[in-house]
Amino acid sequence: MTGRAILLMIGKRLVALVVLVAILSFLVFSLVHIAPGTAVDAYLGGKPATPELVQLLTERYHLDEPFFTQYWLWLKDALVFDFGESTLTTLPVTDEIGIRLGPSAFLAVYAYVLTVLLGVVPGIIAALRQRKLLDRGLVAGAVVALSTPPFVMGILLLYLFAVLVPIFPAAGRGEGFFDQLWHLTLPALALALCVAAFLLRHTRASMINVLDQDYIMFARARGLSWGHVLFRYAFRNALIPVVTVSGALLAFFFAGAVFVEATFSLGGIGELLVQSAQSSDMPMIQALAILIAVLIVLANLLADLAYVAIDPRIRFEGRSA
Amino acid sequence: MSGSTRNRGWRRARVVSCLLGAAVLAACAGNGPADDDPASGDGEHPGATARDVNAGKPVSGEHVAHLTVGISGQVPLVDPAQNIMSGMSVNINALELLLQVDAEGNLEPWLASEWKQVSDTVYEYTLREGVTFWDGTELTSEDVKYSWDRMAPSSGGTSTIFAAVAGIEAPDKYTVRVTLHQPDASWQYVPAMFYAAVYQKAHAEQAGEEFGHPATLAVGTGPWKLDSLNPTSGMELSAYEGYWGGKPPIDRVSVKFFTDNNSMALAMRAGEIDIAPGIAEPEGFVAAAGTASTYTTATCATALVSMPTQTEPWDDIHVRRAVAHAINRDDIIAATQGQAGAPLHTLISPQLFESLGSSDEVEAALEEVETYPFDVEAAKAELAQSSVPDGFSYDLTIPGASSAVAQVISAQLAQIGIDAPVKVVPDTAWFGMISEDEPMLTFTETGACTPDPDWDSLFLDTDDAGEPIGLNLAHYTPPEVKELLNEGLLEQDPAERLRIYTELSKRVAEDVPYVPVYAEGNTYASADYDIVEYDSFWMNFPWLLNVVPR
Repeated sequence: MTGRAILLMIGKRLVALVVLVAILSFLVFSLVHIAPGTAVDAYLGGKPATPELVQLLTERYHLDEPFFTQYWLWLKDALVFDFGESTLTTLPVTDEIGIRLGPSAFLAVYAYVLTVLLGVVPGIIAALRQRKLLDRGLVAGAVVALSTPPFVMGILLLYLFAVLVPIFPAAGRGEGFFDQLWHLTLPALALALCVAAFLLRHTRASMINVLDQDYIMFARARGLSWGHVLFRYAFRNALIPVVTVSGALLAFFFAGAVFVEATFSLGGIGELLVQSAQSSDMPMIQALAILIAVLIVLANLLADLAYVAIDPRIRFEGRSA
Repeated sequence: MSGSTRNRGWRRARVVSCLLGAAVLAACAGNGPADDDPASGDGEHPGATARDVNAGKPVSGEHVAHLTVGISGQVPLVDPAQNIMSGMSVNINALELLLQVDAEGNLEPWLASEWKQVSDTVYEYTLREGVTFWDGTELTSEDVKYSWDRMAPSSGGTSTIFAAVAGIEAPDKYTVRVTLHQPDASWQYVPAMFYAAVYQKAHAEQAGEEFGHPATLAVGTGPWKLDSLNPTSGMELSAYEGYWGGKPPIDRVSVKFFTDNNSMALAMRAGEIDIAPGIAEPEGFVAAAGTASTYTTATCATALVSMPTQTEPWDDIHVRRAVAHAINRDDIIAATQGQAGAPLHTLISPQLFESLGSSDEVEAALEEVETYPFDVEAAKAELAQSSVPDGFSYDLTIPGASSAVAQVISAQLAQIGIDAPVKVVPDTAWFGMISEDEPMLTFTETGACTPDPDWDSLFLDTDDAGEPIGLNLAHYTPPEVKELLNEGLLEQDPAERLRIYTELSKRVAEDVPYVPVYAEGNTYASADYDIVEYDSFWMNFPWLLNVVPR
């Protein structure tokens, strides 16, 4: 795939992203009007409907204008990241998301790196030591990790490494890179272990499959070194199914870490999402829905680019030579 | 605006916030724990001891360099006008009140050295002289007026509690005069409640829309200064050297926010937090927290079973009396993991009567109120007299937080032939049902109460058309009850008010729209510290002044 083709692909994806966000923005804006009760109720979020407050909200969100005018006005604000104020805390939605974005992104990337390290490396080792003791041990360990949900793993890790052997802090997210790394190690591990176990089995199976292929045997027969065969031939091919799940995984770690966030009192995006859904915090739900959609699209784009890097034969859209 | 409408929003907000997990708001104990409270075996416990020092002074002068406090929930901002939950139990150590409620439920001076009720509707407060804000400027009546004016609904404040106020004046530097629309006996306590906190006008005006937000915070007169706030992780406070009560004994206070009770307990075990007020499920907390112990106080808030009195078969008084007799409070309390304060037999907590007369007078009055002791035979006999002698089936609809208690209630009702399967609904759906006036058999905790017996009107309120509002879950709307509620607020004489609220209690006990189950509890946990006078209103007070090392 040429550089131009790659740029074209990125361009097309970004256009698709804009279209998607446009459609989504319309849907999430409509939420306010679809939700039970009037639009004013949605923005009140359970607060008392004093005449003064109703008037204030009507003016603020232009609720006396026609629907499409309201949407247009809302969209104009949303384009500059102004989604209004949280009905739960009264802080601007963008501020609330802003303070959580950094730690959540840090945690997601950290957990992702750990997942790949703990999933792919032992997966390859297990495949190479097929049916040996090490393989059996790794697979058995993976079954245990796979059956332990992150919130159980979180409490277990918390108890083991913050209480019994206090190497890591029990709560909080830290400031600065190394402090964050230290604070987020246990949460990232709790998130990563379950998925890493899945990835381990996945990598092992796909590696075994590739190692059985004729071209591997042929490459060996030509006298190529084992390391060369392993990394140039087997590993690259085995990695493709792994990369497939990566995009979804990053987005999942970002927005789906709610239990781990609660266990370690991190205050992240996942918790914010659940909290806003529970309290019908409409402006917050709108902003988060759009944020998460954008993230999923971008994460998948990254995964596709990784495909291209691993296997240049892979083509997207154009199918040009 | 009528009294009932005034209170609706605040009460709803209070209940919502409680059930959304702000257990810290549960600030309403009475005077020490009740007899059945396991944590209160002796009256010697510091939590049950009254402060014995002057206003502004710490109970213990012992120097503490750094104290770490764990609280459940998060503090988004510190402006009480924008968000009633804002600073939760932390704010109050920085932004002070004019008055305080003492261990006996009486009002005592704080920022106001004197106060008097000039007429039925006019109250006058005289500020202490020489009280300074953290920047050294003196507190004046203008600051109080400004802080309270911002609470009024007309200025966009989210609280409706100040809607009773017709106007606030500052006739001179140290005098604040409050005029009410109509007599309201419950107003007297408002200047002693956390939402009436006072902050500096000049700073608030300069900060404008950003006031109270994490970057701007607020400037107060309290013993501890607000240094920083991160809405997701915690707050930092430090001692204010120029505090009017003298330099506070704790130099630095770090507050950490927790969303999970168990994690907070483990953090305490790991030594990362020293003390945690307002915790949930004390028994579980102690099990996880190692050497820490807890103290639970019984509050004036009522946890109750509610029956929809206008819906069949609950419109039959015999059915409701049968339920009242079928409830075994001890078993239900055991299911709360130490969270309940003490068994309760009247809708209005006896604690709330205490300010209305001597203990003998109150006791005599309460003896007139009928109660329904646990008695399965009596319950069966009542049901046999009803329109459904062979029992019936009706869902027990509750929000998730009450599911353990609901299972016990359901089993107790099954004993007399009422099949009440537990139906757990999301919090928002449960509140939706309340605002839509959908009938339901339910159980609820409210989490917070105020020192006046009018607090329980929350469960009895009706609008001008006689329709149930607020948390009137039972749809209980006799006009006589509404009249008594109004009379109770208009009347200023305590003895007369005692008569009115006794009448009200008798009427409610006779009609049993609700079965009061227990006085809600409030608990702190610590391995090294205690909080003196940990009662109903601990968080309406700079409670860090009451922290004593063990």
